[in-house]
Amino acid sequence: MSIPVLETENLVKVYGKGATRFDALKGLTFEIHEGESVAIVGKSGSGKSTLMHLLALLDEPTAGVVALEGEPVNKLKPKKISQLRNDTFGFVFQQFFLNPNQTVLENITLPLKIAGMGKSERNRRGMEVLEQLDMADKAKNKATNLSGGQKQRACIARALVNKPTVLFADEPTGNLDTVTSEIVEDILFGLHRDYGITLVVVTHDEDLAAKCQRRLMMQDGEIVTEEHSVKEVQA
Amino acid sequence: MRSVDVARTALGNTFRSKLRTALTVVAIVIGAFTLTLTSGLGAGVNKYVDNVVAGFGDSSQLFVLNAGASDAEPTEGPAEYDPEAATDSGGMFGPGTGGGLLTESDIETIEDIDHVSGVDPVVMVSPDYLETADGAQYDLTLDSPANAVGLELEAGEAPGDDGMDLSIPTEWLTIFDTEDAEAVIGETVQIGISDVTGEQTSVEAEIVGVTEEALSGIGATPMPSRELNQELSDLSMEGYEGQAEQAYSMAVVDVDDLAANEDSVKSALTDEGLLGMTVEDQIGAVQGVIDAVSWVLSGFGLIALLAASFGIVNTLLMSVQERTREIGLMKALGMSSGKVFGLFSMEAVVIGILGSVIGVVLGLGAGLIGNGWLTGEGGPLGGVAGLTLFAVDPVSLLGITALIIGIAFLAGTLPAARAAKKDPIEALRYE
Ligand SMILES: Nc1ncnc2c1ncn2[C@@H]1O[C@H](COP(=O)(O)OP(=O)(O)OP(=O)(O)O)[C@@H](O)[C@H]1O
Ligand SMILES: [Mg+2]
Repeated sequence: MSIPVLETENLVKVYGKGATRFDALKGLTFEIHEGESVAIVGKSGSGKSTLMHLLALLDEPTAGVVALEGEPVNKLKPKKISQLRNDTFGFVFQQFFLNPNQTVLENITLPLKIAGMGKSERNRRGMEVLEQLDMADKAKNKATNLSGGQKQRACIARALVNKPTVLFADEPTGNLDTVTSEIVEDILFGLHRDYGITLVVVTHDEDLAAKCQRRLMMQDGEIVTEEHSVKEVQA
Repeated sequence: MRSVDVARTALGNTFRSKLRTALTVVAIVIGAFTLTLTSGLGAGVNKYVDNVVAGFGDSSQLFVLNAGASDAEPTEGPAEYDPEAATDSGGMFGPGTGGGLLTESDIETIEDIDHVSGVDPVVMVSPDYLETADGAQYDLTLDSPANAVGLELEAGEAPGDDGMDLSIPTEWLTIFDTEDAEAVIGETVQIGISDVTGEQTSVEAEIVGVTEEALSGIGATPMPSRELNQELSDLSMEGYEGQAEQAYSMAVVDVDDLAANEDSVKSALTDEGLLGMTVEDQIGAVQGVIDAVSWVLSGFGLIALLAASFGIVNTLLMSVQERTREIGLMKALGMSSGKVFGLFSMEAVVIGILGSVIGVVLGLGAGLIGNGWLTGEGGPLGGVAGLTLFAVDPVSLLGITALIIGIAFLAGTLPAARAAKKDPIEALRYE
């Protein structure tokens, strides 16, 4: 089997000390392979977001190792880790985090701006992604003037603009009605299918979880069960 | 993130809350305005003093006085009477034998000093009047012939060593009822002077030159030739009983290569009880005072800037707080802490640039307009020829701008460091 994109070994995250000590993750070991779609499912407070933040190199584990393409990241310098996040990951956060003062295009090209890409190239790539998501006509709109579903699509566009290997999505449909949720899900799995993007989705939406190839069921900081879909998921 | 994007983003962010930025900028503008005015004032007045010095022409000259004349230490309250000192400081008309005046033997001593190439003793005379051909008499003060090098001529030539010659300023053309300077050349006038006994006599003098007033003030009064000056001096001493020895108020000494020999000549003079001063010595003290005053005034500008820098800290801290999520997002998307720091300190710099440019421009405007109004024709100080109260000194303007931008940057480091330290997770959880 090929080297997994992401793997963890005995991942532990402890918040606080002494009396307020809270073990959010209690030693998780698993692998995510390239092109997989993985759902992290569990009740509120079970540690899903915490796990995703560790996988996405946004936070450091108390103990244990996260390895990216076989390389443990805990030895890397912060600057290198920032760069890795910028290059390899795309993020769709639970909230939109769109800058209301900027246009949709400016918002979604932020990762490229951070990467140091020139403005015209940035805008070209941005428009490409917006077209892919049927949002090209909104490019010059201010981000505040979008509907909820459009905002979420803008967030997905921002996550895709740097052509990431792994897309992390934390409750991508949490704020959306059923119809819009479905549209967003279709987009995500379409990307997964058409471009082979590795998908890591945190959700408690059964529907969404069911569409993923693997489901990691979490409870109190532990993976209690792991399910595999029998057949390939069709979007 | 590219530097140009950092700059552009910082600029955009600065204008996001316009009122807050504007208020912060105003505080800096006040500081920049004050500094521009005070440094311009110092530069202007010093420039005026420099021009006055340049008006004296030759700077290879030393002005030599009897040390006794400037020895009089200022004392607290009335000074005690000292018979020695009293006789020493013989008055202008006394046949000075020591103290305040230079004697013939002093002049010889000076001539013997190494590097001295010429000694020009200055005799001060106080004539009573100048009388024109039609009999009209005018109050007369004469300039010293030693100043002839500093004359700016409108017509004719400067009065020389020989001949009973005189130059008059252009303002005096009216006494000949003419505006044509050339027309008065060759006219003769009578100069009246009283001797020791109070008896008035007069000598005839020919007008050889018409002068403009130079910045130094030279040329504003009639100036005699050396011969005429000496003649008037002799006339004024007439009737003095006793050993009348020629006395001079000071001597203008030419020194070869003054820059190199200044110290040796000065110390030789000191050994002889004489005091030698260059033009710079005399003016330097004045410029020192002007500099001190403009530094004190600049101090107020700096205090204003100090206050303004806290404004920057405050504004940016608020901004960092408000934009916690945005910072978190940028860091999550891979912006390094260093760049976040750079972005926020850049915002401080933008505020600094705005404030300093506006302040400097306003200061320049106010300085130039104020200078024009005060020293222009009809202004309160319009009468002082060549007076400048405000001068544009590009170097110090750049210095002020750089200083303010530097202060703004320093003020920005605290908020910027705080922004850079933000943990993306906390920032993203922040409600
Ligand atoms: N900074 C922190 N300090 C202390 N405890 C924390 C901190 N962050 C998270 N926790 C705790 O860790 C546990 C896991 O949090 P996490 O956000 O991963 O939950 P989650 O599974 O994502 O829940 P949800 O579905 O509600 O988003 C929670 O009990 C939470 O209170
Ligand atoms: Mg969560």
